[in-house]
Amino acid sequence: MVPALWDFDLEIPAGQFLTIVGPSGCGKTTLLAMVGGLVFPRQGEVLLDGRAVTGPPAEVAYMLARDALMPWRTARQNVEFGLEIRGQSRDLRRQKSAEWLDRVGLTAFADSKINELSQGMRQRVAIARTLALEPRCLLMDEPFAALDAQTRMLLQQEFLRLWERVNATVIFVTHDLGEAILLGDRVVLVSHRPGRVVADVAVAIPRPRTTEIELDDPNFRRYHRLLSGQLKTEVRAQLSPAEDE
Amino acid sequence: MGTVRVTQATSAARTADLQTFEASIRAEMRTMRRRYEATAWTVRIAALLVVLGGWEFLSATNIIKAFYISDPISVAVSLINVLGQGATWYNLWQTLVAAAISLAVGSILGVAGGVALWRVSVLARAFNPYITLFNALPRPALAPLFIMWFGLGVTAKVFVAVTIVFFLLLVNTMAGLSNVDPDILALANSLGASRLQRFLLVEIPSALPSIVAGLRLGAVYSVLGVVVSEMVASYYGLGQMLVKATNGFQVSMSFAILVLMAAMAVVLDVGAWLLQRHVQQGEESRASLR
Repeated sequence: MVPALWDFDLEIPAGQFLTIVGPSGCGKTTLLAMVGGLVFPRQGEVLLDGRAVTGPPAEVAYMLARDALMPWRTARQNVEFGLEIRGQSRDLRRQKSAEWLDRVGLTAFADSKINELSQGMRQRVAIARTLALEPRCLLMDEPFAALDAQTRMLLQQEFLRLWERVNATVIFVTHDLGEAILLGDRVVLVSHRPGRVVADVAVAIPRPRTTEIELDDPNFRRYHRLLSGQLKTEVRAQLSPAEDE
Repeated sequence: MGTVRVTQATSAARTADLQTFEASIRAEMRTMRRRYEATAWTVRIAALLVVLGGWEFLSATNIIKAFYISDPISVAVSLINVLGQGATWYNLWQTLVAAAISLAVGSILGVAGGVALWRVSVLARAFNPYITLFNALPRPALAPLFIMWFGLGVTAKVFVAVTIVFFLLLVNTMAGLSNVDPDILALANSLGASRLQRFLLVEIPSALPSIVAGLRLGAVYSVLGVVVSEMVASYYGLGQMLVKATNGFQVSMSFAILVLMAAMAVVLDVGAWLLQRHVQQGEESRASLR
């Protein structure tokens, strides 16, 4: 039994968009779960604004890989779910869900059942639900992994645009190095299990960014070259643990 | 050799206009659907005619003694007669009310029990063999005992039917609650939902299709339980009416009563089906062929 993370130390300033890349099973999800107050470190601590996290903090919103939409609710009702749990009044919920559905471009589908929506649309409902909570910290666990390449690019662009207006700290986990560099102010590479920080790079590409930078921006390619070698090493080590020790 | 060509150009009959093409495809699909439905109806009516015709034939030619099987016309006449008698409606009402009470009581207890066993999982494990055992027992066999205890009134019938409906809803409720999407649960937890919020907003809605499916079966089985109990012994009810008719060799009336019982069960089933459809939110109603 190997710990998920070991010798791990990471500090994230407010408002930063941090992306975390690493091989599958390296502890990235555990990291998010700890910040989200769903699991607790046996050794060490998780601090939010200097205070220890003892349960799901109100200022944190967690978005999972699978959209976790409730099939018995409409899109609008799904977006309102988080607000409902947090005890907001019906009118306020209505208003916020309408706002956010509009921002993700789904006003026309607000009252549709979610099984009538495409995968990309469902993910947008999930984004609306997450951002409607107006969190100070966003935890995102490979939210675009299940989408086809074109939809993924569209949603990446949309999400950046939405984030720029919300101004929250984001911890975005992905296995896709390109996505990490595209979205993040800072990319952290986590080793194979037990996870440790092996690279921590500031991405000096100016904002607002578009998905075109993957093709046009020479800096993008530089960062990619810098990190991909190390990422490959970690992925290989994860796949064949015997060799590594 | 391996060359591949995909083209429309070589098609002999070619509709240049895309819209006309699409319209013709849609028309073709409509025709196929209609033909399919028409065939279904034809077979349906044919089967009915074959059965009724065969029945009439067997009876009229005395291949099977008419005394035992009656014939379609006599049954229809008897049905009309029976419907004209006040006693029939009273008996029907008795059966219906008993079935409705059994469904309500059995469902409420079954769902409550299901929730309890799901929440305290050690209880579920503890009682599992007893549940399996009791479920295996043919519940109608309890009727004589219950009648001895509770007499010939409504109580015994309701008890019998409740023993059937209860287990049905118990099992369905537990199954529904155990199969909640773990992602949605994780989401609720991440939002800091209280236990009650999780239960009311996630777990129960998620289990509802399973529970409603149980209700639908329960509707049919509650009639079963009540009727069988009535057949053993009862003051009133369609089951008792049936036994009296058969004992008195009134075969036509027996068939007529069976038709009434079936009609009643259908009404309950349709009611439950409507509820199920209402709960099933579009997923079922799109896929359903009804």
